[in-house]
Amino acid sequence: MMKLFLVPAVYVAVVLDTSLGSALDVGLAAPDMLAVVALIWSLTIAPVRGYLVTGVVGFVSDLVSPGRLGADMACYAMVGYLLSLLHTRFGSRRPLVSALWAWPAAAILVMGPAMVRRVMGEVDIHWVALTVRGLSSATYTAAMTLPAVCVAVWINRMRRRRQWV
Amino acid sequence: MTMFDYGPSSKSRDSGYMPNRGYTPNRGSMPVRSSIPPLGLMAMLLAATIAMFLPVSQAAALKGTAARLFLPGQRQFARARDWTLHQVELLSSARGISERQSLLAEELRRLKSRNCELEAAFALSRLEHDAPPPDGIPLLLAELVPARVLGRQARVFLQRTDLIDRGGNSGLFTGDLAIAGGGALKDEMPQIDQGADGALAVDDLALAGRRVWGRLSEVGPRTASVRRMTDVGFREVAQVAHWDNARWRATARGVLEGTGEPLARMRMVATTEPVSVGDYVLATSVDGAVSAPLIYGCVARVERGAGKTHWDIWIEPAVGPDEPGIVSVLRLSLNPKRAGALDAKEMR
Repeated sequence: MMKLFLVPAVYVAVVLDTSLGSALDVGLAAPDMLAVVALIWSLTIAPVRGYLVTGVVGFVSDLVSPGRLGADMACYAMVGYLLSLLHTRFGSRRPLVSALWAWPAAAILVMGPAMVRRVMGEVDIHWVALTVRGLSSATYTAAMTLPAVCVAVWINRMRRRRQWV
Repeated sequence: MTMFDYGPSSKSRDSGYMPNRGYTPNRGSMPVRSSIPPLGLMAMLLAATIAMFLPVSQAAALKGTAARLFLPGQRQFARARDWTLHQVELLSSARGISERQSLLAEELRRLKSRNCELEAAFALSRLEHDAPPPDGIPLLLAELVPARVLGRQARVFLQRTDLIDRGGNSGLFTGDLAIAGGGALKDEMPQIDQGADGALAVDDLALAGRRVWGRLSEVGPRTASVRRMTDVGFREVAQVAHWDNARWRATARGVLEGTGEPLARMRMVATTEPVSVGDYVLATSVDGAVSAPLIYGCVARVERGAGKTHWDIWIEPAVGPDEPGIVSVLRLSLNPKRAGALDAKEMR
C-alpha cells in the first residue's frame, strides 16, 4: 500500500525542488527532495529489486536537472542497489542503522551527479567548493530523511506484528 | 535474475521469511552470491549511459515533456504559496488593526477624561455666570478642584513612602503611632491625589462633570478617600426630578443610600409622590451654592411593598462602575466680597 505513495511523492518532490528555489537553503546546504524520497523508499519499503524504482526516480531527477541525462539515474540506481545489499547483508531496518546509512547514501546521491557533470565540463565549480557544498547538502538531505524513516519503520513494525498475531 | 535468489522454500515461516520483507535473508542458509552485479542494475546503468549520450534535441524534448507534466503542480504550489502569504499578510494586518484599536481605546479614554474636565470647567463657568442672588453678591462660592483617581500601584507607592491619608480631620496629632493593618475598607475605597493641601474637606462631593461620583470620606495631607454613592455607608439627601420641556421639575426628596451593590437605594419617598423609572436623582447638599443640578443617577426600578407607605427605589449611578480618570472636587468657600462687606459694616 505504501508503495502507491511513491508516484505522488516523487511528483510533489519535483514540484518542491523546482518551485521553492532557495527558500529551504541553510547556508551552502540545499536539500534535494527527490533524494529524500529515494532514500526513504530505499531505507524503508523498497523490495529486493527496489533499486530499479530508485533508478527511475533518478531519471526523473535527470529530467528536471540541467545538463545531460543519465548521471542521476546511474547514481540513484547504484545507491538503491547498495542499500538493498546492505539490508540483505545485515538484515535490519532499524532506525539507527538506517540513519547511519542515510548520510553516505545521500552524499552519493547529491555529489555523484554533480561530480559527473563537473567531469563532463557542464558545470564550472571548484572541486573543493563542490565537495563542501555536496557534503553539507547531503547532511541536510539525510537529516530530512530521518523523521520519515523512523515513522515508516515504526509503521512496518506495527503491520508485521499485527500480521503475525 | 538478482544475485539474491530466494527459493520457494525460503518463503516459509520456518525458514525466516517475513511478510512484506521478502529481502530478509535466511540466516541458516545465506543466498548464493555472485560477483556479477544483478541484471537489473546492469540494465539500469546501461540505460543511464545511453541517456547520457542522447542527442541534445532528444534530451531537450524529454525534458520539455517532463516540464509540461510538472507544470500544473508547480502552478498549484505557486497558488498555495500566494494564498499562504496572503493569509500571513492578513494575519499581520489583523494584528496591526488590533494594535490600532488599543491605541484608539487609549485615545478614547483620554478624550473621555478630557471631556470630564471640560464638563467640569463648563459647569464651573455656568456657576460663575449664574444669575446672582437678590442682593447681587452670593455668600458661598463653589470651586472645582481637579484631582486624579489613584490606581492600585499608585496607592502602593504612596504607602511605601509612608504617606497616610489621615490628618487633623481624623483627630491625628504629631507623634501619634501609625499601626499597620486594618486598612481593608480604605483599600476598597478609591483615592484621589488631592487632600488637605488642596483645601479639600470631608463630605466634599467628587464629580465627574455634573455627575456625582461620591463624597470624600477621609482627607489626608495629600490624598483623600472617596466613598462612592454605591458604597456601604453612603447616605445623603437627594431629590427626584424629571426633565420636562427643557426644565427640571423636582418631585420628591428622600434618602439615598449605598448598598454595596451596583444600584444604590433611595428611601423615605412617600408613595404619594410621583416617581417613575427614568427620573433623575439630584444632589441637594450644595443647594444655595450651586445652581446647576448635580446628578446622582437615574431611577432604575421602583417598587412598593404590600402595606408600605414608602417607595423602594433603586438608582443606577450616573458614573459607571469604572473609575473615572480625573474627577473634580466641589469645594465651597465664603465669598470674600461678602466677607469684606460684612467687615466694612462692622467697621462702620
